[in-house]
Amino acid sequence: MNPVEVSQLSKTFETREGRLFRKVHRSVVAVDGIDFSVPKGEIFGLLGPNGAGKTTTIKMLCTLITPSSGDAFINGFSVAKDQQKVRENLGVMLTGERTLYWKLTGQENLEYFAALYHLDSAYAKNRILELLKLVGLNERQDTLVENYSTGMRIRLSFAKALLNDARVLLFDEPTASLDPQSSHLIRDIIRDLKREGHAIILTTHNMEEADLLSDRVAIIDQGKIVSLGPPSELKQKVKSSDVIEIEARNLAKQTPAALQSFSEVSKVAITPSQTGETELLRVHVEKGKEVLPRILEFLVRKQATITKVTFIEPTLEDVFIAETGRSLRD
Amino acid sequence: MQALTAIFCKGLKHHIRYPGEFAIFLMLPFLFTFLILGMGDAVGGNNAAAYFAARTGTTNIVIYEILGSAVWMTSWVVIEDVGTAIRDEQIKGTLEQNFLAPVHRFTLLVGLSLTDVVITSILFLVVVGVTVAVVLPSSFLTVIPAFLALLLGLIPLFGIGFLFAGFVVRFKEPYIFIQIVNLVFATLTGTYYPVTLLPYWVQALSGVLPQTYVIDAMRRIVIANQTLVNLYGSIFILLALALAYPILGYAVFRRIERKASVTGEFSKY
Amino acid sequence: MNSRNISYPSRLIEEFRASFLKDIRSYFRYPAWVIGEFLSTPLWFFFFALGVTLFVPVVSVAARGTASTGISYFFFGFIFIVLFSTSVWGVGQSVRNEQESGTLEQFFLAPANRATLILGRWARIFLTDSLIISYTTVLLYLIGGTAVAILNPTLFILSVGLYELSLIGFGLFMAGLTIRIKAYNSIGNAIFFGYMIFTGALFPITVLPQPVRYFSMLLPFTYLNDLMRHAALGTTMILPENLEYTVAILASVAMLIFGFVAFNKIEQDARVKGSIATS
Repeated sequence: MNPVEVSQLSKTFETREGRLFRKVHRSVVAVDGIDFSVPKGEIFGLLGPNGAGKTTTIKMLCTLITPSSGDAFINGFSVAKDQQKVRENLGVMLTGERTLYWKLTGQENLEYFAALYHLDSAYAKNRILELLKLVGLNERQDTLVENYSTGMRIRLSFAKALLNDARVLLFDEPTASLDPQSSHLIRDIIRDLKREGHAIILTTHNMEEADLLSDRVAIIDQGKIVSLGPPSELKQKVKSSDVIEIEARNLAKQTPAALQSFSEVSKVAITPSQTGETELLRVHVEKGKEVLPRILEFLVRKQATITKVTFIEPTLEDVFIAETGRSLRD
Repeated sequence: MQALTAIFCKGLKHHIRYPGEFAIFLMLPFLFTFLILGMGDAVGGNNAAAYFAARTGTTNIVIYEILGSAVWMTSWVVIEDVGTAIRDEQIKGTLEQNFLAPVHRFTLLVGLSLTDVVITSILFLVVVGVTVAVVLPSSFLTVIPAFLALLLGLIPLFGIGFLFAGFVVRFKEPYIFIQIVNLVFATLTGTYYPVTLLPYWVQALSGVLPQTYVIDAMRRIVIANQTLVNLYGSIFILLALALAYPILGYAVFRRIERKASVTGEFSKY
Repeated sequence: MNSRNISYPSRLIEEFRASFLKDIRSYFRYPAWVIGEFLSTPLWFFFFALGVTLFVPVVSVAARGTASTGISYFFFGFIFIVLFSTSVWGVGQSVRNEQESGTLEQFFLAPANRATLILGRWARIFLTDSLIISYTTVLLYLIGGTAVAILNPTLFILSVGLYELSLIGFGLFMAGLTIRIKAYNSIGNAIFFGYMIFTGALFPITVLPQPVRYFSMLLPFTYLNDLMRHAALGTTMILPENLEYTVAILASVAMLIFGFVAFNKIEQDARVKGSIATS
């Protein structure tokens, strides 16, 4: 059995919404029958837009949320039935810097959590020193966490997840809010952990990171896995099309739908550019070089101002667009 | 004026959206008064009322205590609201935005305080008005001059609120300080007993606190049927405090604010 | 190695120790709160005590010590309130604080026993409350000339033990309530004031109207307060002696069990709803 086995895992939230005496019952399907497994020594990426179900999936795996149906097994223990055992067999890092006690030092935080994970005190002492050195906090171990920078807090949270040396590790956005140097450090550590044989599940918004680190990626949208496989294989599926990125101003809302009327165009997605002043059209198209002049003519007729046109290598974003017709950043 | 109105409306909306908090402040005077009466009955037995009258000069125990309770609660609301409003803005991260706006700091603080005039007025009229109507209906009209004494007593309290606003910018955690200050004020100003019960040197401290005069004036007006004119001495002192406290409070606030802009305190929380 | 060789009792002790240490360190690193709590708690007592002195006979300073029964009665009420606030504001509020600061999730991720973690917190609060009560007792003697005596120390210690057991149970329930109901302040206040009025903490329940008294007699803390006060001051018990001992013991055990069960149930419900650590 693989360290992580997920079978038809689902979660539906029941809510009551509306005015005081007119509340309406509503069911929200956050995760809809997902299946995957993670063997030893693999980094498994979970990629998807906000609200796709990534965090709900992670929280079910670490027992913070009880599944509505289906099950998952961590080192053979069921998340639905053996919650205590699951917690003992997991190392978890959840998003954000607000997972630490600000009035304790870095070392004291790790000592506290080491006790909660039942680590032998002599072992814990050495382990803590080792981890603080690993994440570059050994010289600040006696500083209160409230005086740490955001990056330092995230690195300490990361170290906390490694305390019990669990075979299965869950990292929820481990490099969010980190500077490039710290991100690089965390990624190197994750690669080392993979080489040591840990099964790692990683959620991220960062496509480049998912592409770089993951052995396999599951792309989640609206609670379902829409694509699963090694990044190279997923991108290969999209490679049969060309991907053209057009940066422009004054794009009408109907432009993506209108472009799809071109028979050669398979998918179109639109997102704001980084500057926010222009928008990016990402067009998946057969025989791109032949079709491009007609696309550009169409856009000019619609009074768009084109600033840049690029043929690009497909990324995981394009895999997502190909599967869902929307951008990951929507 | 526009800014003042905006700040006033924002503060009022907060109280409307969190009616639970306001409900607690309405209930607390009754609850504390009831506790005092219960304890008094327990320790004093059948002669409790007689012992009370010997010390206070009145057998109107409920009115005596509820007036003190009401002033205590209104003071608490004012001091807490102005100080914690700043703290709430700090935590939400909006303090910097407020201070970046071209609005005079005084307008900001006064706007916050004006909301409390409305809130404390409602509080007072409900608590004292209802109690007097039920227990001493013949004195119901005295609630009006008593209310005027309260309003005059609120002005120096806003000054204390400004002082707290400054402490919050510097020290960040206002709640425990506010609790202690409110307790100290309640103890020194004769909330549930005459200040003459306190040692002389403590009474000197009571003399600089506005609630001392407000509580005493209210008791004389409602229980002893005196008028504001009879109490001209207390009114005069309240007027002096109404001038001194806001000036001092605002001066301290501005000083701390100027220092904060040097040390970068606004963005810390 | 790491955890495999640690026995279950050792685990519980380590969890308790870690939780207690974390709480003590965090508490003393907020000096404003420490000073504030040590100042404000006795101040509440003296503030209300002054109000209560209006209802006792006027006595000379020399005779003050002999007129102390009324103040002693109230002083034990103060002790009850300080101890009871451990559950409501100590344990319950601190869980709410962890929710808001984001550390509550870590609490639930760990394979640690929930009760020992909460007990660790309770132990810190019990320690600081004991210090506050002790020095308020000294102040009462120095300022008010009132010496607080305990008539039956053995029974008093036993009744304190029963009281603390029920507080642990009630604290677990309040911790669960915090997880379930985010608007904790209003509920906490209601429970706290209900305790002050209906359980004979500050005045005997005989002060209350008869129908309300029946309600008071349904509350377990009424008997626990009554037993402690009887042990300290020799006051008349509400029930016949042996019956009151029985009721107090059963009430403590029942509250302890209730607290555990309620907390577990609320935790499981919160996992189903996905709201276990949301603020």
